[in-house]
Amino acid sequence: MKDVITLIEKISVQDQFQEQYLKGILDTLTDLEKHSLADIISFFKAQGFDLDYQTRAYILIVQDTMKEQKYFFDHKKYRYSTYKEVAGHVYDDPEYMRLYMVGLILSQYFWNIHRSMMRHFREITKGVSGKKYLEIGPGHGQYFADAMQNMHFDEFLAVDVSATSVEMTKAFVAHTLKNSSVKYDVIHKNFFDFDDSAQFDAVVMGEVLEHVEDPLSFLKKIRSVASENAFIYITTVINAPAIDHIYLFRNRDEVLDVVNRAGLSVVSYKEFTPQPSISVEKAIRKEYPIDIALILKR
Amino acid sequence: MNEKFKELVAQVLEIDVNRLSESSNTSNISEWDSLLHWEIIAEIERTYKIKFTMSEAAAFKNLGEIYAALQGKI
Repeated sequence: MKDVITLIEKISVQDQFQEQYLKGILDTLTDLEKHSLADIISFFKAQGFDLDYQTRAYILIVQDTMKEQKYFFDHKKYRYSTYKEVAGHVYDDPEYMRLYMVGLILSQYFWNIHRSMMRHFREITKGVSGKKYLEIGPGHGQYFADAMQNMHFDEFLAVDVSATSVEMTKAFVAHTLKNSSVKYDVIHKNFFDFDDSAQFDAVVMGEVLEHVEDPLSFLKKIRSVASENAFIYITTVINAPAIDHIYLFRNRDEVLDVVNRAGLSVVSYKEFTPQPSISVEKAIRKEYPIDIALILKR
Repeated sequence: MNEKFKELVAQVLEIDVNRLSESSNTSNISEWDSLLHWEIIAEIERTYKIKFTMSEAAAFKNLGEIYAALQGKI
């Protein structure tokens, strides 16, 4: 735990809001989460990303998000709206992507909204089983590793358009599941290049729709590769600016509408806000960020 | 700090204006986190038709500092 505490101290020195926000953060984590966080920090260190690098990565994602949040308060829209505008300085920049992914995985433990989503995913996927599992856009690999620990499938496959994400997911899973015999693969591919005849019994896509220009096509593609009774789990964001968010869902209905238009039905959904003190109703009224997780069926 | 300014900030934070003073900040007003900080800054800029730089706004330590910086711009 020493490194966890040191990392929090290093972050706190650099950002007054994080200093306040991270006070007592360890009390909000379960023992398992504390252990996982310590393990992740140590994994990154072994990868050559020392605590200073991890601090820089976390501060980068915090500051970039706040910069975009300010833009959103001013303009009521995201700064960018096309993939081309963000690809150059995010996805196609390996150094930025590495920092971004390291910062993002730390936010799974540090940010209330991401932590709540992670807990929800772990809870609702427990015991789900089938033959083939697919995750689109694993990013840093945390959810993919969780899936392999929580669910029972003959094989797990993850596909990501970013070479850096593929590399990070492979390394993270290899570390997290080092003694496991679960069959898996992580491939560098555009999801649209998938053969529609490939059928999966689970399709998971966390926080991808807001990164694409045409969410409807993505959801239609998911429908085409999902087997008849597939477990489909999608998350996206509403009014949640970030450096690479280009598709703005302004409310829940816009999310549900695109899901329905793709020929998918909503089994259930759950919404998450930045702080426990901010209700979903307040977040909607004030246009604060909301994460929404949906369980869908064909 | 004048009342109009305090009321503007109280409105964003959705708290009683009497809870605010020059020393108010993220450590003594629990509703004031980074998200609300930037909303406060955006509202002040919109209302008073001024602009803070990002680094300037990120460094404000309390409401008194924000008010002083505002006075320098209007």
